[in-house]
Amino acid sequence: MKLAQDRIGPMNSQYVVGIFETEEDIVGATEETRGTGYGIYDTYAPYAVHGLPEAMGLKPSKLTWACLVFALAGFSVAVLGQFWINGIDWAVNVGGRPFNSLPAYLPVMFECIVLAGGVGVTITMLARNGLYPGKRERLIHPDVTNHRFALALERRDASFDLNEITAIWSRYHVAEIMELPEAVS
Amino acid sequence: MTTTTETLRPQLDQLQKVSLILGLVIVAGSAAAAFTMGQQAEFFQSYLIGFFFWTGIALSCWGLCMLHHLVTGRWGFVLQRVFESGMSTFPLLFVLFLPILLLGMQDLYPWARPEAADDPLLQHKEAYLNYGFFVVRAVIYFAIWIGVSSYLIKWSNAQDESGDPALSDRLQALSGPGMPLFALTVTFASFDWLMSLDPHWFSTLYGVMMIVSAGGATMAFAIIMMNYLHKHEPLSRFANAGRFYEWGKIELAFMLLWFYMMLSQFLIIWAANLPEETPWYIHRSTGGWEIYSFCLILLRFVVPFCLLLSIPRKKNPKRLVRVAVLILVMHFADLFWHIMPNFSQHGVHIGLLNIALPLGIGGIWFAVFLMRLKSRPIIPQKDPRFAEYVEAT
Amino acid sequence: MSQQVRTIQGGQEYTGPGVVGPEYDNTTVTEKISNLVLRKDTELSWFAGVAIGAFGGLILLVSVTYLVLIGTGIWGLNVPVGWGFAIINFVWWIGIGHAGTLISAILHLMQQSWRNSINRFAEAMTIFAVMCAGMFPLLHVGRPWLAYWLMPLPNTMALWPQWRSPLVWDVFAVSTYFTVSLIFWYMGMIPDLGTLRDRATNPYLRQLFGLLSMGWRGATSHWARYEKAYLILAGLSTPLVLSVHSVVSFDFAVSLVPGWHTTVFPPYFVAGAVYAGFAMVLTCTIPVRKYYGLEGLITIRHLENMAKVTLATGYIVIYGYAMEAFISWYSASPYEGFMMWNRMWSGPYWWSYWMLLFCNAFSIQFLWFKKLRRSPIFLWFLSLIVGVGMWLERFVIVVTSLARDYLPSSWDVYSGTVWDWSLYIGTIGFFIMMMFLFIRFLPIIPMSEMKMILPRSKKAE
Repeated sequence: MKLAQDRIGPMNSQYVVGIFETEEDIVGATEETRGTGYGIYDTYAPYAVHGLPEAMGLKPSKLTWACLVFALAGFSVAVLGQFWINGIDWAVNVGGRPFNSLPAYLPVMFECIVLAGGVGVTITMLARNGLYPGKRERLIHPDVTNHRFALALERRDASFDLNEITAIWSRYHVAEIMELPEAVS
Repeated sequence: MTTTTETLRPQLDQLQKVSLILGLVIVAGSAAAAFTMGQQAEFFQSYLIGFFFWTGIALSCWGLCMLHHLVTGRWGFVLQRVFESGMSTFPLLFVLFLPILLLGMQDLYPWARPEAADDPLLQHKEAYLNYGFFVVRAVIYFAIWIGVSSYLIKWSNAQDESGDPALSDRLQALSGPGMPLFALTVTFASFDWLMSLDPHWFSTLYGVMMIVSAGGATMAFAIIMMNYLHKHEPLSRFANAGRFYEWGKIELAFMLLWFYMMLSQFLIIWAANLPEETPWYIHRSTGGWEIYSFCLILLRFVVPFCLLLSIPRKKNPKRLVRVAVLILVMHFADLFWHIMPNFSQHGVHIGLLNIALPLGIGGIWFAVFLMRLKSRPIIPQKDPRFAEYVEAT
Repeated sequence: MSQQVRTIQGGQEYTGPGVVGPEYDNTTVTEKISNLVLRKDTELSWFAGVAIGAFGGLILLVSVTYLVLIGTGIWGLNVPVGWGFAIINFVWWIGIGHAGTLISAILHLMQQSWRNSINRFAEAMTIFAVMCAGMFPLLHVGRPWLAYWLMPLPNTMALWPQWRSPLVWDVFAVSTYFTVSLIFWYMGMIPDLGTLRDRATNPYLRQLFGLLSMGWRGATSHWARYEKAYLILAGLSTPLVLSVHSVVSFDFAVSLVPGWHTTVFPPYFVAGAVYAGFAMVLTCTIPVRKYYGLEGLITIRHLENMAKVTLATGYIVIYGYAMEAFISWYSASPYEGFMMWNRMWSGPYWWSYWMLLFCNAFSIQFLWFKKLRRSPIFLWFLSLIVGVGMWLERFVIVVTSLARDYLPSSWDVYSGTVWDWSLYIGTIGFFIMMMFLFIRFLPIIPMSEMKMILPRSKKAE
């Protein structure tokens, strides 16, 4: 585990992080901070908090389309493969059934759809998140994988007012405010 | 307060009147026309389609209502009164069954004709497929359906008055054993009324297939009803996008199961290729029926399934209801596919009678359904489980 | 026993309306579950459990070695009964795996929050059960080292698999099922592995969990995609679980053998699989929750719900028996009629049919009583009976149908030899060993998912 604070970087990309204790507080603080126009870098939570992606203004994920593409690829391979193998390349008469037997090909087509779609969507998810075995994690706070929540803001320009943010966050019972000098993920 | 949606009351009264009059006129007109023109057989074939279509919906209303009492998911509370109104039509359906029982047997069922005595297979089945036992079984089915469903409705009504939480437990306790009774009676009813149209043919999957296909149609019917009612008080508070999303998901599951059953039965019979079993499919894949079968799979499964995969569509009542209408129409086409090839094996003939008569029976059924629906609060508001549900949402 | 182990054990029974005991909040959930993995001492009984399992694993190794040396002739197979224990055990094991996918995928889609404490456990069971299942067809092909011939690989002989065969469908169904279940299980574990990484004090363990958790840091942008992918996987797994046991049933149903060829097989096999699977989940969770004090996480309500699913799927299985019996008469086919009569009364295996009815149809009627559904001890014994019953069901289907096939001159009686039994017992040992290893080295209850369903008041500290 390597905390982000341990590393020192240029001062011009600075992050302000608030640590919260409850789900309601992090959602509320995120919503209000975003409403006041500060750039939200990301939030961190020990579990998938309902409503937090919406509070951050994240766009809905397009993973469904990735899954569809993979599934169609698996389907095509199964369709073409089976018809070509049993219909053309290796046409063997088995029990008098037609060489091209669509009903008998359906189970394998279905399995290929599921296999390609399932494996594909998982790999896409990991790739889009930048997760891979051996990736060095940089936790924003040691408790975000246990019981606390973190909201990280990016200081983009001079209008960044720490006092205003502190005022907002304290209404949501912020437990701790940290300033980080460097990128946190 | 309030029975159903007060603002809608005049509209519902009107709808009930129109559908009753139209239904009676169509049924009487078709009967008169068919019998004077000597088309008695065609009349009963169409009558059976209509009867089984609406019976299937009433039965699935009963099954889904018990399922709701058992699992009490969020999806069920708003639909409960639609289901209860649907299953309160069993007495009407029994009356509607009488013409088949009294006049139509020989026109519909080969085993009921005198020639059956020459058929050794039918002689073997005579112990089951004979007129007396057929009538006894039908009476038993209806007795069970009316009996169990009337208790479910009665207790639910009593709870509207008293709000007694013990009644919820009682509804649940009856629904448990009610489910196996449902499965068995629906299975044997579909064996009797549909499968025995081709008395040589048999399939152990037939009952499950009928349960699943009627279930999908009933969810579609419920979605259509909800789309009609959801803008009015008090439903507008409960039938929101989240509920439509859940109903759409259930409909999606029914679509998948329908195709699963159809494919399983077909694949097993096709692969084994036994002379006892294949004729049923040969009748449905020759003489124009092959195109019909293909369209059935396309429009009853592929198209609605793909449409229902979209999450925004499931959340939007207007878009969802279009799929529901398609499914309901295709359920009729599905029953047509089950029933008609037994009679016209050499070509698809869709006559006016085939469509008018099911619609006419539907008119009568729908009028009774509406009468029951508007006579009671549209929401089981005093059910303690409903209060929990309101709190949770 | 050290202090630390004692805190692992001991929990209180929770009978309230919720799905989590009152002692749990975000912090205690993390502590309780991660301590099961990260504690320094291991109780002796765990070693004993692993040893029992490993002994079974040794039996498995010996049986496989002897089988490979001599051939499938050491089994009790004969001419009409060409599929004996191998296919029975294959279907039994793969059926047991189905509960895992049902719990993790279907109940997830149905937003049933009680699934969240048992899904990890049930998914692990799925993986190990499918491993056991896969061994049987691989060994039954006689030369398991050539099993890759089942895959469509280009080769110099220009041979391809025969796609119209249900056995080839099985290869695809089972391998897809294993792969997707493994992905689903692992993906669900990534956030928890991150938690373990951050709580481990041993640097090597921290490295290991760090490697496995792929740098998970709980960012909401990650959570959003993660949840979406998880939902999609659940959506894919739902028809998958239906298809796998249906394909297994096609192995029988697309043939001509009376007793195998019947259209109700696919849904009836799927229900039977879920039924056996839930029984196995009960068999495994009831001792574990007691021993490790998890009563507040796997509550009586969980057990009762599982008992209800067992009852419901059991009834579908009974429905299948009823349909088979009725249609065997209604079909007016002499072969169907003989099959049923032979199975019930006149054949050499009539006892197995009645034992099967006792285990699967009679014994589950006790589950109508709420008091028994909420009694862990009763449920544990009942789950064993159901396990036996489902094994007998496959025995009845496979053996009674084959032993009296269309050709009376070839009729024979089948029984498993000592090697049949040793292979079966060996896979059970392997399964037990894997479950014990899983309990000690991985988080057996999903921490992140439990935190999602904590009551609102408990989410705050």
